[in-house]
Amino acid sequence: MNAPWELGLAEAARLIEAGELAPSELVSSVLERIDEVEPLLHAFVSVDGEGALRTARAQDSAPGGPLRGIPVAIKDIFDVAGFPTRCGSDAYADVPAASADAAAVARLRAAGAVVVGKTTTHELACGVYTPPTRNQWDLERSAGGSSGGSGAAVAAGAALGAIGSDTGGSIRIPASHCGIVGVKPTYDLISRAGALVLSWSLDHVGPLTRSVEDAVLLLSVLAGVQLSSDGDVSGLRVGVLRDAPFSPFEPDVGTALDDAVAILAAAGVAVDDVAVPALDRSLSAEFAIVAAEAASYHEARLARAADRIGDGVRGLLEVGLLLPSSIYLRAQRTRRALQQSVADAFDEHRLDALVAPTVPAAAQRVEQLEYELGGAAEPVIEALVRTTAPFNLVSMPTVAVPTGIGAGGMPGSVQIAARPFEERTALRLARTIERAAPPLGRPRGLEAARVNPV
Amino acid sequence: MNEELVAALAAAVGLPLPADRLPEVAASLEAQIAAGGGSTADELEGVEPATMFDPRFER
Repeated sequence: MNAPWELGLAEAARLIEAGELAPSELVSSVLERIDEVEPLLHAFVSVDGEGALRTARAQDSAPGGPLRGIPVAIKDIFDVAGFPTRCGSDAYADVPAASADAAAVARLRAAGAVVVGKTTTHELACGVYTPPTRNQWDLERSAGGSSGGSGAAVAAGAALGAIGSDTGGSIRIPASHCGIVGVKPTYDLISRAGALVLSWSLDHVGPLTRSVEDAVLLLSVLAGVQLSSDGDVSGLRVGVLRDAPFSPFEPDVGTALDDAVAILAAAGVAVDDVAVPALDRSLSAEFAIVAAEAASYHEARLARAADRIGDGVRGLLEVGLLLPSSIYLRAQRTRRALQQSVADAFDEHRLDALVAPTVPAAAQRVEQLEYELGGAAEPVIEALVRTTAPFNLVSMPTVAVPTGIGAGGMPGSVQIAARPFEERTALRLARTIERAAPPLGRPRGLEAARVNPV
Repeated sequence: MNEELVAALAAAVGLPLPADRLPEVAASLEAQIAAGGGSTADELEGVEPATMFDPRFER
């Protein structure tokens, strides 16, 4: 029999509802799993074992919501009452404990979820490494970022679900690196209240889970709407994005994309390559908007505590504060132009969704600064963000879903992007890929460390 | 973009920028400006920025 921590979130919720699993039994099992894997993965900044168990025991004999007794982890940019929100930065080391939950955390708790701990974030939610967190598939590799702790924790069974934020890929990059599902919903579908800001106009809140079904349940609670991934996908039309900015990519990534396309075609989806050349402008627009808005948000902190911010993020903030307003506004106008280009492609090809590589390469090694892609060196952050940022800029609901293990031994992933507020379409297509894709198997990083893997 | 100009800009906006950071910030700022925020002004003629303001008093 599997340990409770191995259960999917939706499956565990069903068992609890049926009285076949006690919340305290599930939470205890997850806490034991945290003890087991945390020395290797470093996914948490704090674990509230005592509080989580107390909450779970109180739920053992009480009715509850759809997430009753479900252990979840919270990226440490969201306020959790009673805990400091340190945002992965020394600049926030001395902040007092939050007095109230962030809106997304409050939604989870109101539905019965049990917060087991807060997860690591790349400093100020601005980066793709999330030190010191490691990847369960290869402990020498990054779990991605900036929601790296949430990705690593969920992948390893140290939480059944987690929340993260995605400003330029910060949910989907860890999801891809760690072999799990990550959802960046439509802009503003989930409240950002009580969360650190990186970019007011690009920040998105969303779930990370081990399956699409689990993501549907978390997303439904977070958004306050009933979503579903059920339903036939035959007859839908999906455009495949292979050109820049989605290329160049590693051979494994091309295989993953081809596999996903074949699965969709076999399910009766009309799949064809489409080109949206304007999306190649995404990275410049993304970086300009993030730099300017993040710098403005952190302006006071930058003036009084710049030396407590790591060099990489500090440099972005400094540049953002000096960036001419004409460049920022050009980026915001570029965003509008990109939206129109994508809308035109949807109309011209009568599309329901787009599919693209989530990222162009497997998880980087923790010390790796560049990928070699298309015969040229490319900074890791630019490579990872150029494929994810387009869907932040256009704000389409986007689901990253695993496609199997590549020849290099790391998980592959594609992202499905649908029309705004059509989360159901993206989730249905992702579920179709998930059902037919080969299982990921046992994570070799934890195997090598002789820890019982998921 | 030279370091003197960056230092002057930083001073004007109240950004404490130590001298040892000037080369990195100057290079990054120059690259960001060169990237132009994505599209050119000509390409964006008639395109409105993606900014919005909610006029409701109660939000």
